[in-house]
Amino acid sequence: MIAVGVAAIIALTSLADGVFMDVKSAVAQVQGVIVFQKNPYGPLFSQIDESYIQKIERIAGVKKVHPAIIKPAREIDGKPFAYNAKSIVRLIGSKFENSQDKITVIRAEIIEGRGLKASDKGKVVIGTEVKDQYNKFVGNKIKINGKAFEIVGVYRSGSKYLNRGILLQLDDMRELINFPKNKVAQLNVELENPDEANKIAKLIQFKLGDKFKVINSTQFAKSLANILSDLRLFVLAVASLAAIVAAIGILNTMLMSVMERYREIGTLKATGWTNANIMQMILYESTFIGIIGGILGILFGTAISKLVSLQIGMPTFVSAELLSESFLFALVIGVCAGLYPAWKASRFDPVEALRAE
Amino acid sequence: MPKQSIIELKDVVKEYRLGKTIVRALRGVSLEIKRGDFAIVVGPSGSGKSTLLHMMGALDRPTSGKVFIAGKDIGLLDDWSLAMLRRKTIGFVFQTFNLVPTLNTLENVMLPLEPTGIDEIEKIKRAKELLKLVGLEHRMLHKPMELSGGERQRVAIARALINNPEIVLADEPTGNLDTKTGLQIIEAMRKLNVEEKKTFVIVTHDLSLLKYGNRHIYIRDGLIEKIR
Repeated sequence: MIAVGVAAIIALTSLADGVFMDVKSAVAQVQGVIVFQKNPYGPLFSQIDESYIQKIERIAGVKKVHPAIIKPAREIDGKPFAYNAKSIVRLIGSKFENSQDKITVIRAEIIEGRGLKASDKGKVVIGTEVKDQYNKFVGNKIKINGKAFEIVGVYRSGSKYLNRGILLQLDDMRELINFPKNKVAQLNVELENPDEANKIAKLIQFKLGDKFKVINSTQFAKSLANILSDLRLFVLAVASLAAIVAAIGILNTMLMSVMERYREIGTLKATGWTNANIMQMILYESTFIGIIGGILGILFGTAISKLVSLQIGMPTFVSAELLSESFLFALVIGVCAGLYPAWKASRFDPVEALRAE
Repeated sequence: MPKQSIIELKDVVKEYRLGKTIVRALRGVSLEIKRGDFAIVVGPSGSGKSTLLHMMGALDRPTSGKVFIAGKDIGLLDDWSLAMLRRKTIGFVFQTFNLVPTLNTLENVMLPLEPTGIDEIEKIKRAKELLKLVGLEHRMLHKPMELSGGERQRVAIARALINNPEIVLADEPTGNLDTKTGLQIIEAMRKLNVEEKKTFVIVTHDLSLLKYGNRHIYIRDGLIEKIR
């Protein structure tokens, strides 16, 4: 029972932690400032004129502006996606200008082949997750939304989410998803000094006016982290509920055991065991149940967590902290659930207990 | 030299509440057990024998009157001190043996020593010696289920002796045994009485055991009928 509770805590929390870590690293990839068009439908429908690139690049402290259109792919190699997050592939259209190893827009590195050149048309660089899922190599063709592209390279970033992406030139991207010419969805502003993000974000907002939404990615990451830690707390609360049920289970088991051993406890008292000795014995037993439950729970929970990670593709993260906390939790539950039965057993009248059938 | 008294009861009354009625199990009992006695308490069931034994074993306090065990007035002792008195001075043997089924013979014998903080090796040594004394050294690792009734009672006797008590109290020790085994148990106890100088008080309704005792206490309706 307690094992189930601890397993639930570990499985759920590791999932929340995994998502947290991954989203955090995904956000960390996109440092600096991002500019969207303010519109009633949200950033997904943002359209910005390319002419703003120069305007922003003229602002002091701005190193370079990377225009981008990021949209989920509708289908890859003829296989459409169901609308769930686990397998979706993001198409990242940007102005890739040379075939260098670093890709600034998502801070990724080319690990096979080359990056995209300005002259590339009909060519893409795929993320490691896409390469693994579709079993592709440099030189292969990949069909995106029904159109074939040649793979010239493979990239890897620090985030599993971002690795599930395909890089292509802006013009190809516009053609593919029917995006208006000379427009982009967002502007990723690379800064001379990343520490000035807040200041420059305000400056850009001031220059561009109300029509645009300027996001400082560090701040964005912070608020995202808050939401996610709330999520972790929620998950922990749900899992703790399971553990409380487990505690009631131990309490019940111990009470039953104590009642069944009524006569035995009477005998122990007759042979000179004090009330405190009896209490200690029952507490040891319930603590032992807690420890065994904790160990089993850690094993099951870690296994479930890995299984979830493998089967659904959701990232999970089992931290040493989570393991030690869960174990401590099981231990405390064991002790607490034993307190009442131990007290009850210690109060047994030896004469009554010895008379019991 | 006259023998010293080790248990003394003076006008002991014990009342129990059974639902709304009050049962007077002992109605003014006075008696004395001397060091080295092999006392047999006989009486019909419901006569108050077991209650008397519980008083002598510091398991219960009298409603009125005084009980002295090894010089201590148990009416004045708290639960902890009573437990300590039982641990140091008294060993119990029960009709139903009361062994822990999950523990083997050796562990059952060692059980009273568990909370004493005595070194594990010393505990095992003592338990082995006692099992030898009751003739069970070859059954040390058996569980109670694997032992005969007589063997179980001998384990219980070894357990009662593990704390080296001065007094051993036995409540119908032969009650669950056949006649032959019962006699063997009583003889074993008598031997411990003579050789180890332990005081025995045996409660029984079996009059044939009387011949083993040097003192016979007859009890009826919560009162001492006669003492011989």
